[in-house]
Amino acid sequence: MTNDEYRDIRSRYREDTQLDSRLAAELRQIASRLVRFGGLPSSYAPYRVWNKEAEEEVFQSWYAGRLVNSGQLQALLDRAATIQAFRRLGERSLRQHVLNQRERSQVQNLYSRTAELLRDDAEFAAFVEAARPQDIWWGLAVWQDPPQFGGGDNDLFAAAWSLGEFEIIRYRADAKKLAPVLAAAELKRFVVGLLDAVTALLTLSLFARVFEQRFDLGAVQLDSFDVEGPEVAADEAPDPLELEQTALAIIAELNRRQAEVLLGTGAEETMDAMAARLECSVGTIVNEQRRIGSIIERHAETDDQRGTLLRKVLDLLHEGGERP
Amino acid sequence: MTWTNCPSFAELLAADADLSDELRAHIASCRRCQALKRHLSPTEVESAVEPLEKESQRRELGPEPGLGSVYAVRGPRSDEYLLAALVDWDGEEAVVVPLSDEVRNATDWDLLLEPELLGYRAMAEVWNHGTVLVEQLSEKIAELGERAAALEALYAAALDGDELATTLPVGPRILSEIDPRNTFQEQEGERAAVYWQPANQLAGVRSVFELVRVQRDELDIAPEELGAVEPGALEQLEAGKLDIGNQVPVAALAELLKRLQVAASRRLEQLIAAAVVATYREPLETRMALPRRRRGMRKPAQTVDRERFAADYARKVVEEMEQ
Repeated sequence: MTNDEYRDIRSRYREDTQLDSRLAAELRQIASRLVRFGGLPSSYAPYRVWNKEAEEEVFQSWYAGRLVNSGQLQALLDRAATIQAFRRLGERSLRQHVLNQRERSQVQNLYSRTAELLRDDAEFAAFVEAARPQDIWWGLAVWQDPPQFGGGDNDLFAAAWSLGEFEIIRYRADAKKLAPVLAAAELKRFVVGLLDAVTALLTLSLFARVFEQRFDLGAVQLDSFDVEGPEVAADEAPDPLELEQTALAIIAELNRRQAEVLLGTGAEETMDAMAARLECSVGTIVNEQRRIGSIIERHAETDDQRGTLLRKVLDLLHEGGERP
Repeated sequence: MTWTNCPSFAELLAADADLSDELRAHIASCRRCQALKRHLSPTEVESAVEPLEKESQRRELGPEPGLGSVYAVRGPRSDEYLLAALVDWDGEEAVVVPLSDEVRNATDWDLLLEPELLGYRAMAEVWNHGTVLVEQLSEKIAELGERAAALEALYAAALDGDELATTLPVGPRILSEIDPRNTFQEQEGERAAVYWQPANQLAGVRSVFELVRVQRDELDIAPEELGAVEPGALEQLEAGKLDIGNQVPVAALAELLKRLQVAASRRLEQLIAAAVVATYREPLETRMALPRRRRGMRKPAQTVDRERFAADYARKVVEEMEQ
């Protein structure tokens, strides 16, 4: 598609009643390129293998679900002035979609495990019983005569955000099928933290709303319970090919400055030297390091694997270039 | 070092000959892109897909800017627009509030916008407001309608440091430093800052002379590296001693300003015109003044022509820059 064609499609999209076939084909190519050239590791594929069916499944959920039905295609077009920018933003959107999808698929599981945690862990107690499990009011067992939470959604969400970063869903690299591993300690830290922050009793319905908003996990079916026990994060080293694919997926998410900051940090360059080399402030370097950490964290399963992945990313960035 | 956006896979996979010089230069110096390019191997891609039906969002938008008008804002050296809503404006500049579709990260200083307004859920980042030149307002995309009053109220509260009205549709407050939305706001602040540059660049200077000096310092360019104007003339220009209108050709000044990454704008045009008037030396004053005085004649005032000449010169420079 040429830039003139793109601009023409962009100018008409809002009022059109059907997607232009050239735009649809462009989106198909974005997805196909990302899948077939290693932009998405196979561990992200439904059933952990990228084949025609898996590519089609992911494309359809992105294209029909996220882009057209929820209006994100309009958002991409509004922002991209050229076809090049559209492709770049499209790739980012698809990567984000695939990561979100695999997390969203676990919301039910997360809800069930929260119910299990509140029920089985002695640190928690049910203070007000109810007919339906989702309406029982839970709190910390040590509390004396606590109030029920009476604030609004925003008060609850503000408290949830104030607890900082959490990785409550992780993935086993060695599983035959996509399987989440709930970081049990993280989940407990979050539940205790939230109760502490609001200093009031909460119901499972309220926890479900928090998961939906804070972790972007989608809506929970409150009457559904999964009774499987919690799994433990795998410590096995991932397959070398999968490791390389995941490292490339991380590199694809980085920007140029982040790649340089990562290389500098890996080479133990001082903050001041890095800031001077990259012509920015030390504060910017610190911010970039934090963002890099979040990206890697999202792809890693355990601390060990985080280290392995980080080394692989550095190796791939170093190839053919001098160390800073 | 400039931080242009990294290209898409499509461009990384393209043959070198199909890339622009700028893109080739980016890839040659970007470790992220080099690493990906080394590990990507071309193969067939799928393009067959059924186009979907969608809802039309036809709407009539007046041509004039208004409170809550949503514009695609053009940025310097960027092929991405910043979507932003207008909160204040005059003939030269506009104060805008960036919009984002990452509503999950909304705080109490982000006004939530219903999907009907833009076609998708969005938020107006009032905390992230900034100033752009009116020339950057590329195209009007939507009007916030009734939400415009809420935007104005939130913006006014932000400026005055007032308490927020609890009835406004906003996100949850930030209660701690470790709230991950702080990181999101840092990123959004950086994303928008690029778009404030053209207005900031001109807001901080009183003349074109100063603008040239400041930009040259900022970009660390030596006088001899600027081909458009001789180093000696450049020194005089920066000191405000060069008759710009008569001694610097339109194309040369336009090239100089572009090289210094200054964007064409009405405000720039005014600065150039003022500089031309300030440094204008009437050739007659130097060549014919003495004989005229000897005959007891006085040259009539030329101020009107001078200003017209300056305005004409400035307009041509800006037009040349826009080409």
